[in-house]
Amino acid sequence: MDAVVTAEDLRKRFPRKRVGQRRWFPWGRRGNGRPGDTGRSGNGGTGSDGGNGGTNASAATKAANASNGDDGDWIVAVDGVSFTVQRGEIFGLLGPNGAGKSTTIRMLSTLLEPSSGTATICGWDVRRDPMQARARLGVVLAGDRSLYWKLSGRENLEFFATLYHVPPGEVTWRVNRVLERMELADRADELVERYSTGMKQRLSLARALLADPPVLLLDEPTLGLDPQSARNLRELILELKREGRAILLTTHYMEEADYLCDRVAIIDHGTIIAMDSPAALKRRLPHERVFRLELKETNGALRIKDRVPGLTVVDERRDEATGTVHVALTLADPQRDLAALWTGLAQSGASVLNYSVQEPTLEDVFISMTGRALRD
Amino acid sequence: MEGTTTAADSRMVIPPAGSTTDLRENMRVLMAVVVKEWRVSWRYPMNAVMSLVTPVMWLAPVYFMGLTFSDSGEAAGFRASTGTGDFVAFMVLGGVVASYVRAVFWRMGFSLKEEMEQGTLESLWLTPNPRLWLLVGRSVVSVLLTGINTVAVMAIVYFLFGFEMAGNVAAALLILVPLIIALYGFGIAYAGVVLYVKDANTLTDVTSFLVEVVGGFNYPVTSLPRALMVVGLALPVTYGVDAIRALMLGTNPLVPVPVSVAVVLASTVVFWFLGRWVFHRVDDRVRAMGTLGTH
Ligand SMILES: Nc1ncnc2c1ncn2[C@@H]1O[C@H](COP(=O)(O)OP(=O)(O)OP(=O)(O)O)[C@@H](O)[C@H]1O
Ligand SMILES: [Mg+2]
Repeated sequence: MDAVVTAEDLRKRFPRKRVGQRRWFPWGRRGNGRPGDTGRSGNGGTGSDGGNGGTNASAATKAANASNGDDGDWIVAVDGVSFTVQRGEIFGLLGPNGAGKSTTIRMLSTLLEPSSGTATICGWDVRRDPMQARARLGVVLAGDRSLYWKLSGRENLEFFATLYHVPPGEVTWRVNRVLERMELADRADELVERYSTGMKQRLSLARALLADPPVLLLDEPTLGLDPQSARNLRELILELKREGRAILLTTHYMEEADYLCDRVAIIDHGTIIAMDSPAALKRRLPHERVFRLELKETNGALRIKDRVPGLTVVDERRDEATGTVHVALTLADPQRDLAALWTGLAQSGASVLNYSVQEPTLEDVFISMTGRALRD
Repeated sequence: MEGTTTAADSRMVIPPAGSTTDLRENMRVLMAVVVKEWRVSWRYPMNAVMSLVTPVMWLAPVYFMGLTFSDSGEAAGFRASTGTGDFVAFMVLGGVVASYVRAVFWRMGFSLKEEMEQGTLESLWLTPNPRLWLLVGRSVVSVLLTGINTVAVMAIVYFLFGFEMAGNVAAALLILVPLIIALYGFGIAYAGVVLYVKDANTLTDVTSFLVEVVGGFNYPVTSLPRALMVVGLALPVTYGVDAIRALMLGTNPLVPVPVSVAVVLASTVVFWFLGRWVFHRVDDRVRAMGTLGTH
């Protein structure tokens, strides 16, 4: 039992506020979803029918509200999300804009109260013991406005070190250590307003590491970074993982999720539609594997199509300059058809100059599960 | 710095069990907030200069107008309605309290709102500290900065216009201190309201202006139209200013000084309970509605 982050059936809905609508009295009726939200137990009408905005309050929700005498209209941001993150594991939430990734992170970091469901950090319930949970968390939220721009990097870190209860005698060396680690040491005494986006992002991460927390929540950590900085940051995240921390990160870069994460939850319209290791997720789509061949024909027309039953040609191009043919194809059952392909090729007398297999990406997984692209 | 594979948890900084850390640790956090606020304030040097200049600018026209109504430094009509002819001293004392009122509205309300819009408030809220306590840290800086500012303004006014105060400074301070504490209790409640209501600017503008109008900082409340006077008399701060003036300048108090003192002390307790309550209510609400990150 090494799960340091658990989320169980987390839900979050927001009141849909239209322009001009406003409740003036904060102590009015508490409308935050009651645990027994009726009519929303299954995945029935929720999420699957929405357009591309992700802000669909399902018909079921509206019906439930109506029957509660509730005139409000809700945005269901997170709808029954459950997962765990182990020590020394990077767990990724991958999904399109508005999927509910940030909302999930905010609930785990006690900034938002879940409408229902439970979440724990190192065994501490985020609702009942928010301070204990926060003491074990390093959080980097999306955006670069979480630091004091009128303070230097060092002053920011010293301030937050105290707020994270780093013992007085340790503040200086801890601040120095994270500055070194984030390669900010030489710019530490400049005002943050002069930092680049990447430096601010690294400073945020430096702050998250000050108290040496066992759990890191990172919301789109590489957003806005140039490829080199993004690569460095990914290496750093892997290093943090090797130190035994549990890392939950969100991203909508599938390559990043693929590279970093031990497990990925693909989230759409607030629900997890698939959760597994990237490799296992991709293995669910064997026929999505694309075989690319570069052939030199020796005797006219290629007839492999007739010889391999499960073969579909995706793309066929003749390269006049080299006199070769580029064929991209998929196989219904690679294990069976691959052998047939090779014998077919041999019999047709074509010689294979080049051969590659393209793995399906997480994006393909997403498309096959939702019928939509991850990024528009 | 590597090779720490197993130790992440043991080296981690964990507060003692229970949700509040011990007093010393809390004081450290308070000091850190104070230092931070202090630094940030001084990195806007124009603000500091303006906060010195503005009160003097406001006072100057009133001073010269007052002179035209006065006979060898004595405003007879003013004496008749207040009990002192030294209207500058009268206004300076009012200004001391008024500057704290303004500080409560602008520093607790407006600048908290600003911090919320900048996104730094969420960073604060992510630290393992009681949120109310972080606000108290803000208040302390505000009291300090306002105090420094007030003394500086008084000095400037003294050299420019001159005034006399012969009364019991210690007794006046004994009223001013709980009055300030009461005001900041109110400030915490106000901070809560600001976190909830989006358009804090207008709200702050209007309410702080209203309080200044009806609180009788520059003139006796009794010279207000009846409706406004009633509002003024409902504000504890009115009694505080009144008692301070009675002690320092020998003005005619609205009510006996001990009664004013009782009002101030009672409001200290009431405002702090109110502040706590409102703030916690709003904080719960904000976490439910998700309005903190949005602006
Ligand atoms: N405070 C809020 N009030 C109302 N609706 C909100 C609030 N915060 C988020 N939402 C809605 O909840 C849904 C999920 O938002 P969330 O920010 O979690 O998405 P995300 O997965 O992080 O998207 P992105 O990739 O764009 O960051 C969106 O439809 C959003 O409009
Ligand atoms: Mg997001």
